[in-house]
Amino acid sequence: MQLGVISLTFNRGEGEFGDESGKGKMKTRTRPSTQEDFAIVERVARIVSSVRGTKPDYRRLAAELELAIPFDVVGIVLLRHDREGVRVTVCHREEYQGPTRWTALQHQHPRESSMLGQMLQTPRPILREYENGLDGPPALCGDALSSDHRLHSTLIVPLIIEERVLGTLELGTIAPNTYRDEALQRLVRAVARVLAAAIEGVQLEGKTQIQDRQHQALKDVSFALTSKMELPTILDQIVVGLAKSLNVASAIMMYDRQTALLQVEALAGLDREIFPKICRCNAYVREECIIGYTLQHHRPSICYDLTTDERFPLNHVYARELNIHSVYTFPLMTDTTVYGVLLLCSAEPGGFTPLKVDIFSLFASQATLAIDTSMLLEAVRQRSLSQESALLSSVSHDLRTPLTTIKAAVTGLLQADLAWSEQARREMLEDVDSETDQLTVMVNALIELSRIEMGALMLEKEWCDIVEVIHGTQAKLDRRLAVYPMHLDLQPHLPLVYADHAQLERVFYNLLDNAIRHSPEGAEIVIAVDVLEKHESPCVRVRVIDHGRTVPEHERERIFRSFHYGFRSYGSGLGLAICKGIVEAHQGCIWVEALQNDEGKASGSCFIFTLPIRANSGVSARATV
Amino acid sequence: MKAKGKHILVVDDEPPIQRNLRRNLTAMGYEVLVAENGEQAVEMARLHYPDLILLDLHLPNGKLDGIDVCVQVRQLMQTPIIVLSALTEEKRKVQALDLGADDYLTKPFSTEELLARVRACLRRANATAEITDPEVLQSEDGYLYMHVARRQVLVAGHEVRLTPTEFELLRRLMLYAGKVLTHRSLLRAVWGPEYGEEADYLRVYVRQLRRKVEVEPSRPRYILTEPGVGYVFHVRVEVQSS
Repeated sequence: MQLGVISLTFNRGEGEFGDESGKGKMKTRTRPSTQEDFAIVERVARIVSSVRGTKPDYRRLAAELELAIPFDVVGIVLLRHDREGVRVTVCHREEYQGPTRWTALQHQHPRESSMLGQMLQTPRPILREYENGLDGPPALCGDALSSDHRLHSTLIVPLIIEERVLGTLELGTIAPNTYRDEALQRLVRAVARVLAAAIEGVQLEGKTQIQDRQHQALKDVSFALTSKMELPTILDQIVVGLAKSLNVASAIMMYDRQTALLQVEALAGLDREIFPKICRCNAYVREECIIGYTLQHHRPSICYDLTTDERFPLNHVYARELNIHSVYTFPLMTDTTVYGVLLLCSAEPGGFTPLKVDIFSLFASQATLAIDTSMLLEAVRQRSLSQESALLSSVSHDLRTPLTTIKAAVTGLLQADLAWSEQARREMLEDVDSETDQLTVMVNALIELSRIEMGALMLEKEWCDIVEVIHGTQAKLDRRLAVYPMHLDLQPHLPLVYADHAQLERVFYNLLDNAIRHSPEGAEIVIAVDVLEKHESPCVRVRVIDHGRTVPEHERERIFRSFHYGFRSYGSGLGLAICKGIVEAHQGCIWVEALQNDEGKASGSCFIFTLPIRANSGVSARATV
Repeated sequence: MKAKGKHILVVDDEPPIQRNLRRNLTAMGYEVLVAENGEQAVEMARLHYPDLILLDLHLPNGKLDGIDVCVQVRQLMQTPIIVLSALTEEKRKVQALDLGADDYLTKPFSTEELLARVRACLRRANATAEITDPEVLQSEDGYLYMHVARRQVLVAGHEVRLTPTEFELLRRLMLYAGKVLTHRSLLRAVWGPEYGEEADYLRVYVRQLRRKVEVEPSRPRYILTEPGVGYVFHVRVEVQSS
């Protein structure tokens, strides 16, 4: 940041001095001594340093300015980050004995009714004389000066850098006619430029610092969410992250539907005893409390000044007990359910800039995600606990039966003292062979099903000719299909389907196998394939129709679940579950309908599945069972 | 074709399978050598130059696994290799085929299947050893006839016009009849070494070829799909040299 050289070689009497660049019109120059030069430069440096740093020391600024500029009151008015309000610092001379000291007071008020607001529109110096003492609103008399009735002479200049107005510098004296002097005015404007540059520098730096803090806080929260932390820890990280990055206090409250009460789940920067106590009041879910309002209206809400906001009388107590003056709430919700509320609290009224609000919403959505996920995980865990036992017992049963047969046959053959006939020997060995086949089928099915359930099904998709797949499957079932007249009802010019060829074959295989097992001998099995142009995405529809038992309505969903026993199940009841897993991994649907004959009586079953012609993305199957 | 005198190297880490294979193959007249791990396999191949190698892909004891053995053996010799793979090893199976294995068997397999593959492999090895540049390729039933030099293809006696790519594809399939050719090997052979991943592309050509050459393109008899692996010319082919 270049200060330039501001030559404050000002002689009150004469009225000429150099401008910033040191060039410019100069008539007779009153050349100062080198000592004075130094003093001036030093003073400028001190002026600048007084406004730098996280807490600008305006009293020092006043002390420095006083040496060159007359005033009894000086005010620095800066625009708030959110541009909705102005921050005013007023420095008065202390009226006590000893060296002059300055006191600084601060307050804020809305931009609309401020002098600065006007200055933003038309930046220009404003010179005023009040014969009877200053009397008027901030917009007319100055944001810092307006309350001081003693003042007779005022000068307000914008703190402007390039075209940007950051705030104003307001000066007032009790004595009249102080600022009429043009040279003085120029000096003040020059000082204003220096101040503006210094302040802007600080603001930019501050922004970077804030951004860094926020980055770090965001990273912490993301880490918490992606590592397997417990929900309470995650919520804690979120409020702490928010508090750290935005320099505010934060809390998460969950709404318990059963008791209709709010429960404080995480806190940062708020009193751990008082805050929960206050919130336990059950009136808090009403609209008169900002939290209740948020819960009911499913919208973020902001209150800039709790003590004066009439919408939320119930929250006045926050200001009293906890020194909270502004509040921002964010509902934690999905679609329709509101779980709770995320709160930001600031001790200052109007403490939330748009930047803070953005970050806040980001954190809020993370919080919702965390809550949602953990609830989901909880639900899944419950379900899988109940399923696990069923799976284990069926697997062990189904594997043991063929193993028992094999063991029996083989040990029998091994027994030295038993004499088996050639035929008996042959029969036992054939048993062993077929039981082994059965075991193989089961083990393979188990492996496939676990792949599907774990979401580890990797599909190798390519453009497949469904007809080719069907023929391939038929070839594999050739022997068993021999006794069933099979009819193919294929729409001509079927499009190719983007799918995993081997998995698709498995689907057909399982469906045909199912049809064969449940059809009476000689009954016809039909495979019909056509194209459905439904909604935006056309799909291929396959129907496998058999004349076996009709699946009753209450079973139609359950048969697609793994280890379903009972109706139309066989072996370990995995076949249809596998079909479902594969079809759904291709973004298709599978279901069963009843087949009705001409008289309207149930005469068979129709298994139907659809496949989008182009299944895009999604390599693994959802855990569907 | 006689089994006598043919040496088969069995590579498997599990003793029951070793015993089983040794027994069955010996019973058919083959001489059997057994290696327990990858390093042994390469060593024994180098020393004995077997006529065929049965290689289990899953070799947990040792630094070399089935794929490594494939690669190293191929560097030394052109001995046919049949890989024994488990159901979950699809990708590795294809990888082995791409790296030089000739055929595969999925565990558990029946002895019948094993012996059939072994016979087919040995026969192919014999045939290709004798004829490197066949003039005529003809399917056993006479349905498909290809005269390579004249670039002529007859389907049931009628001439069929094939594009150069289709011709090359068919020629390759017929030359290696009975052997599953992986997508990659076909792509490289027909299109060039820069190709390898474009299975979709290959599919289109196979489809086209089937339409010209098969009786029922959707129910092919000659050019069959091996899902996830590649294609195979399923019918025996008689090869005539010039």
